[in-house]
Amino acid sequence: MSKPKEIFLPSLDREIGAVHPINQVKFDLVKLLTSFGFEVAEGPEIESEEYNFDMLNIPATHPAREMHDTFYVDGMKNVLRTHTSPVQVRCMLEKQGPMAFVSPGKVYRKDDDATHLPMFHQIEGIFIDENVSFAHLKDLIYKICHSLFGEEAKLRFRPSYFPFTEPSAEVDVLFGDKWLEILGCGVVNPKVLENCKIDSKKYSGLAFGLGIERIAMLKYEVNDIRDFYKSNLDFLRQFK
Amino acid sequence: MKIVYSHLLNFLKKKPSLAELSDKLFQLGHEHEIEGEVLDLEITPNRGDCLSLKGIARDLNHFYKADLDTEHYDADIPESDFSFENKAEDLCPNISFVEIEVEGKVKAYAPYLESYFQDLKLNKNNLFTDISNYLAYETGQPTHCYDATKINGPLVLEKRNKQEKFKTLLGSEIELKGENLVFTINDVAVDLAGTMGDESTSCSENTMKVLVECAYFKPEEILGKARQYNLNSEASYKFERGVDFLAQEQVLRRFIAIVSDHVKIKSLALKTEQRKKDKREVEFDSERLNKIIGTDLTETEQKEYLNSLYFKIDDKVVVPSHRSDIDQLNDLAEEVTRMIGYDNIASKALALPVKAKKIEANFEDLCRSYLINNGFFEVVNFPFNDNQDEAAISVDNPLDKQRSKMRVCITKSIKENVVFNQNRQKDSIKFFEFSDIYTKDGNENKLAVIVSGRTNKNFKEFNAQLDYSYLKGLINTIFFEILGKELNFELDQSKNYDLYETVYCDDVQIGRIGKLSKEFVGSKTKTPVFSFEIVLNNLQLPAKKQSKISDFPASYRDLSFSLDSHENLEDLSAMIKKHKKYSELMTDCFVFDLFENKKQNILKVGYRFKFQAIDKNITDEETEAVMNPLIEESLEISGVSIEGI
Repeated sequence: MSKPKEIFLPSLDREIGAVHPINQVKFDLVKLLTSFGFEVAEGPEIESEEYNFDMLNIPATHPAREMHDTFYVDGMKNVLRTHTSPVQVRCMLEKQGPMAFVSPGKVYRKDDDATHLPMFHQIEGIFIDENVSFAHLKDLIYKICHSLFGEEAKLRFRPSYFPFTEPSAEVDVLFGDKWLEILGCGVVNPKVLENCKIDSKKYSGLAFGLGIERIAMLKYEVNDIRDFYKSNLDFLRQFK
Repeated sequence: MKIVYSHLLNFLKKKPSLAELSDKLFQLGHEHEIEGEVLDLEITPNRGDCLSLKGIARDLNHFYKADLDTEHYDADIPESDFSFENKAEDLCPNISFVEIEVEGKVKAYAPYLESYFQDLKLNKNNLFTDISNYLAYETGQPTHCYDATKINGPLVLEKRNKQEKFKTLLGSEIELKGENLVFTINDVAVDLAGTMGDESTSCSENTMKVLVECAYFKPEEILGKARQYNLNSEASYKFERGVDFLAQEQVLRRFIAIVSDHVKIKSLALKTEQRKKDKREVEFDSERLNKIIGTDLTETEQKEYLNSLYFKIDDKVVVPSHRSDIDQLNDLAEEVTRMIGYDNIASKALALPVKAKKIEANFEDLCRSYLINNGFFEVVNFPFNDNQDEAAISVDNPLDKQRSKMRVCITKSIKENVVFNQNRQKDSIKFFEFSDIYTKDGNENKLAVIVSGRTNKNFKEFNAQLDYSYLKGLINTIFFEILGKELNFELDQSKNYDLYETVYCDDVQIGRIGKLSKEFVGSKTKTPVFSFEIVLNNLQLPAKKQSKISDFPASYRDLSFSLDSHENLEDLSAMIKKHKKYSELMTDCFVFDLFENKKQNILKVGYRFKFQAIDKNITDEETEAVMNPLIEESLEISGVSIEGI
């Protein structure tokens, strides 16, 4: 029996597209963190200095507030948010009591070189409740990192400095024989809680923040952060 | 900050190996790299007290017992009668000066001083400047040396707003502008306080009488000055991060001791002002401290850790004068945690109260999926450009002029993405971007889509070009299939477009669609580029409800309309839409064929109409009752005819 001619014709292939790799990682992180119990909150990218700095215990004299590190707009009245923490400030002011929020989004710093971009993405989380401790924070960070990098991933916690957390830590994950910094975290500084009208004697909190580009670079083995924003089809096609 | 391993060991009673030391420094939060014996430390900005050998040794005291006893000049020093006026007591509450006159020449530096320069590969200047630099390395406290013979008037410390030229001791010329805290002599600035002295009063190899100034400046007063004047200043780096506010006289006594290790001192005189004296106190609460960390340490254990960091504890915790970063219990908790080691704190299971959440789809997600499935790639662009739109928000301190405004639309950005790829021989481009757009009028959540080139890479669609109909079909489909909305379009004009229509949804203008002009695209290739950009604010997904479906057979009618011109299409389409809207039996209608022969001036459009009833078989009479008025009305449209009718 002869074969029908249709089977010899070329198939009518159609290419599908792809979500941007940074958004893919962002969506994955949101999915992971919401599965832990966090709600998602979003906020404006143009922020007041009060929400971006003051409420977060970043004093007027902090180097981050200088013109060299922050983009100012509206005749120096507002800033392009330097982190997504102002969203958490808004959540705290609104909710007051126990809460668990993550805030993903674009943030801006006045940098532009081979390893820094003027715009990048962060996802930050905050959990407020009674008797939340650094030991609880470690448990959460282990869960996040093990979900991202596998159960066998080795972590290292290092003291660091963020004005909005105390104690503060940076977390490194071991890749091969190299420790790579993955996230910053800490116990929410009681001064921040008080600024947000939360009783710091009753409540404590923990907070963390991840750079999405960093996670995406590790996940997809991208060496140059600038590749994410060139919109080169050959690059984007690899993330279907 | 670079320190040498062997130099640090001089200040530790126990002598750890370099590897052990490195581990402990990491535990304490002092990230570093090691090159040979040199540790290049990245000290966090809150730990100005660690910017020295003694500072690091103090932090390591718990592990290796710090040995901070260095030789100091302990004898009484007569009070100096040199004239100093402090007009900025609130900015510089504590300041000391010592005048040292020496005789003889230095033969060789003492081993500790020599190895500082050798091991860190630093250049020497003159004895006094070299001691000043070493002392900052050893103690973390900057000092400034004036050649005392060059001071020809009272020294005044003042904050003033004066534009004046200033030649630094390194030889560079700067112009002081705005308010600066300066030391002046005869109204001339000789020292930008806490940052750098001037050349006219600086020491040289011939200096035999030095005036050494040692101060505590408020960090915020020094912050940013070095960067403002493009000066590389170790002193300002330390002052910005906070120095020990009580150390000034002690540091000068150490200065004298080092001088006396090298030359004979002829005379000494000291002047000290100390207004800021009180050390900070923090309430101690052992139980809360454990709650912050999540430990069950005894009060004794907690106090041992804190004592090892030089905190004095009675009812309250007295903070040592070198720790400007400690003012609350959480700070003490961090200190205890550092001593234990963050990695040594056991985790405690954290269970967040997981609330049941309503799973809701949103337009952006559904739209993104649709576009991806249709071969579109998502792009993300920076929000800066140099547009001249009046609504554009200006960036006050842009990276450069080309990025001095916030973009007012996405189209310009994704157009650049298309050009970038066209220049790389890409012949089928489909991009989209979702973004918030901020203007003086407020912020809008927007979607922009852009297409150019071939429809697909297969044998049927390779030669079909992505065009205006494709894009219009896309936006219509997105709105109809996802939102259940029909869009309206109105022909308009706009610069940057060869063809432009305004898009309306529910009679509200939501965006635009068009063919971009070649001038605007600015590409070397001639392939046309089409885009739409719409506002997504307030778009709500409809609640999905099942409606009854028919099990009765459908009936179809096909009609081929002949048209005089394309303009007839619009009238015909509107008329057919109206009939469909008012007929319960016409469940679908669409254009299944479009034929055009320009030479013979033939334009034909084929419509298929579907009829179906929910509860019965549909009759020919019922179908004709809908079709006949439709046909009659179509023939009333000028330029429309139906063959055979």
